[in-house]
Amino acid sequence: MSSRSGAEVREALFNGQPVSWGFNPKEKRVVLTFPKALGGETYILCIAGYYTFVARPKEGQIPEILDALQRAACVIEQPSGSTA
Amino acid sequence: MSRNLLNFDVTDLDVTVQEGVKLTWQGKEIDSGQMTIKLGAPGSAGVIDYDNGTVNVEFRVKIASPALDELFEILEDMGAERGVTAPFDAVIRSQGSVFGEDHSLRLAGKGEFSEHRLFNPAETTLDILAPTH
Repeated sequence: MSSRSGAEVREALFNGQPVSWGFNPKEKRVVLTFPKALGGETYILCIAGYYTFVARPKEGQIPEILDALQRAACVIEQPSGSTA
Repeated sequence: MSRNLLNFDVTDLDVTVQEGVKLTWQGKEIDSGQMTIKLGAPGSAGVIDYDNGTVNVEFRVKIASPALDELFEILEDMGAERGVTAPFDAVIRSQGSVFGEDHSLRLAGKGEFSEHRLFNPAETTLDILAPTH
């Protein structure tokens, strides 16, 4: 998790930016039970790592990255000072 | 998309379970070693409802470990059916709260396993507990 405020994270999500959240590796979060044929044990385990969400663009909306690429392409096609 | 409703895709999941677990297979104890949980089948997605402060998400995951891979290889060599050595897949449906202050998520969920000859879905359970804070 970043040090950004909740409002900044929410804005980033709505702008189509990926946002990740991490797990506390010291916290037991997973309870896993195996079938009897494999011993039938139950374990309570810590997990480490992260997951990432990216907002799904609404229909007809150009994702920010594509929008940025299109704007960049315009800059390349029409450089400032061009006499074309 | 309403400004207070965010539909999203889960684009990455990279989880390790450091502690190994013990499986017993035909009287022999097998240590799973470190397990990994990553995205499996496509379609992991969810929705955040900012009005209600809730989040619902479905993670389609693949669970793997060196010992499981080794066990599957041995079983394949022995001519085991595909259903015995198929990937250990699950769908984890989580729900919880989203906190405005830092946009942290408090998710808890339950896993549902795909059909598997070794990991009988009726007897194999996976619960994700909510973080304590």
